[in-house]
Amino acid sequence: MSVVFIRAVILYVLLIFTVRLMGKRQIGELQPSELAITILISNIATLPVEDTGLPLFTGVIPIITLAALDVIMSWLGMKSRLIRRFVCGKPVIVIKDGKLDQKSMRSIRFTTDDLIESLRSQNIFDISEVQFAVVETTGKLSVYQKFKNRNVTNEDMLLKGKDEDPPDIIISDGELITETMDRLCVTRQWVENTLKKEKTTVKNVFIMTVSPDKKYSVIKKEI
Amino acid sequence: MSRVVTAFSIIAAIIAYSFLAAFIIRNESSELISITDEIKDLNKINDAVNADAAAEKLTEQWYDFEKKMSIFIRDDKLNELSRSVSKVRPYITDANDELNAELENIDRQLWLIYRSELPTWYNIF
Repeated sequence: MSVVFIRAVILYVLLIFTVRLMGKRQIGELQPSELAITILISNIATLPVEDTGLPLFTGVIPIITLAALDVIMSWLGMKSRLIRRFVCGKPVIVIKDGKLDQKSMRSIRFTTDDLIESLRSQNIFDISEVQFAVVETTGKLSVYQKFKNRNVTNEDMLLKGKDEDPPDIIISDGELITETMDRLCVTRQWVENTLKKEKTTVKNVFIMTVSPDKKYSVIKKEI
Repeated sequence: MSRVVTAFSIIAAIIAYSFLAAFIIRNESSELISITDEIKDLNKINDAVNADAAAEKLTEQWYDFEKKMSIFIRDDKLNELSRSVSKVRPYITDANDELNAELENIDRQLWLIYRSELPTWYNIF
């Protein structure tokens, strides 16, 4: 039993390493090939845990090989459009000039149900509101609505404002995040002085956020 | 870019590991095969004392081989070989006719293990 336990621990660490190597992506953002590789890796990982007669390396080698090949293919895809096309495919336009392209839909086996479902998930319940729609390589539908149905923007309203980054966390559960402090050009002294005004200290702060123009918000610890 | 470098390093390490595994298996197997050949020769001239000493050496060498090879080879293949090796000494003591067959079996299985590590058409497909 201890063998299974130790193997499970080793594979857990290996899988974390593998996922980190493959990079940050959500399941919905994965290319079909990446999704297949992820499923394959999870299946292979179970083999040496289930069967202690198999050497651990029988599981480890294919896992890291697949992850490494995935990284290499992504890198090659960045270098060559041809490889990118081969690995990821290309986006397919299914609605153009407000008209449905049935031929394209058939070629990618995208059913009317798929289309309506994808539109509904973007709060579009009437297909006539769509000017242009593309099925991305991940299978997601990107939609551009007709002018009369598009949301009003600040620009449409002629509202004035500055383009700036959102506030970011500089204290999390009593700990200073130096990385964010450096990015926002905030010194430890400034943080301490600010907290003094709030009659608290770094240790007693649950969350503190600061915006690029030094506007801040402090939430103190309750427990 | 560091991910790409890591990925290439991993692939290189795995290729190196594969060749190393095949090399180690070949070396270790040939040592065992040379001992089985020695036992066969001693058995031919009915030298049971020296054959037994060689069989003892084979058993010791086998334990060492089994320990090292468990990293590369499935348990069931090693267990099968282990059973064959354990029969050699009793066969020598009893002057059993099947000794040569068992030694041939050990040689054959060691060769099969080595062959299974080679990236040949037969193994891959």
